[in-house]
Amino acid sequence: MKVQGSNPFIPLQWQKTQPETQDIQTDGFAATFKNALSEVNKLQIQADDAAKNLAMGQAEDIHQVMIAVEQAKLAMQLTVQVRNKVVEAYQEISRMQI
Amino acid sequence: MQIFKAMQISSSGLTAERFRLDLIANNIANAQSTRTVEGGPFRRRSAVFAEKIDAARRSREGVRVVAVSEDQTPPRLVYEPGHPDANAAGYVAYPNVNVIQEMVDMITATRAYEANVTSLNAAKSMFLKALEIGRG
Repeated sequence: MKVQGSNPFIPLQWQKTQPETQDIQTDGFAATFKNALSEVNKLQIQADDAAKNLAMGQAEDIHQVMIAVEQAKLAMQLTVQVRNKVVEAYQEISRMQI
Repeated sequence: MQIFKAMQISSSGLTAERFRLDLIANNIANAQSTRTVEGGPFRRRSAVFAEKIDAARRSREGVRVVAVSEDQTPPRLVYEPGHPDANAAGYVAYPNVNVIQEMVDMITATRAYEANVTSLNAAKSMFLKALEIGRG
């Protein structure tokens, strides 16, 4: 007689960590770049506010101010790198011999 | 932004360690306090940490302080009949704070803070390395 017990090993279900549809506009590079720029701008404003709070003695943690400033700086560097690539691509095309 | 997640996690660790240091400083400052609002001598406090999980996004977000617990060990009794808080037998109940233990905890908190700063810097240097892709 074959013993059929309940299988204690239930395979793990892969959970999607993010919803499938996102609100990111997908119409071209310009819109994506605009979104990224607004993100960078938001980080800059956050860093500004954090520094202002620190100067006014309202900052709760110094490290949060430092991290906000650092994040703004890194996001800015990323933006500059993307811009450099775009300019490089444009110059490559403008140098094309016709 | 998702790219700064490691930094935010480190930030939560820094906040938690700073809070722990606050409690340690309070313990050391009150090592001789024989009166509290609740009555009786001061009791040593310590922080309880837990992993912070965003249930909606099923992601791990670092650490958070869930509770501040009071050490329930009995107070230290010192024979000082002249003290205003001495009991009938002449003993004063001093806080159950061991300053040496607090010093050790302080070193632990400081080192843990430094470790979080190191992991934050590692995240930053990884980001900067990624920006070097395609250069040169």
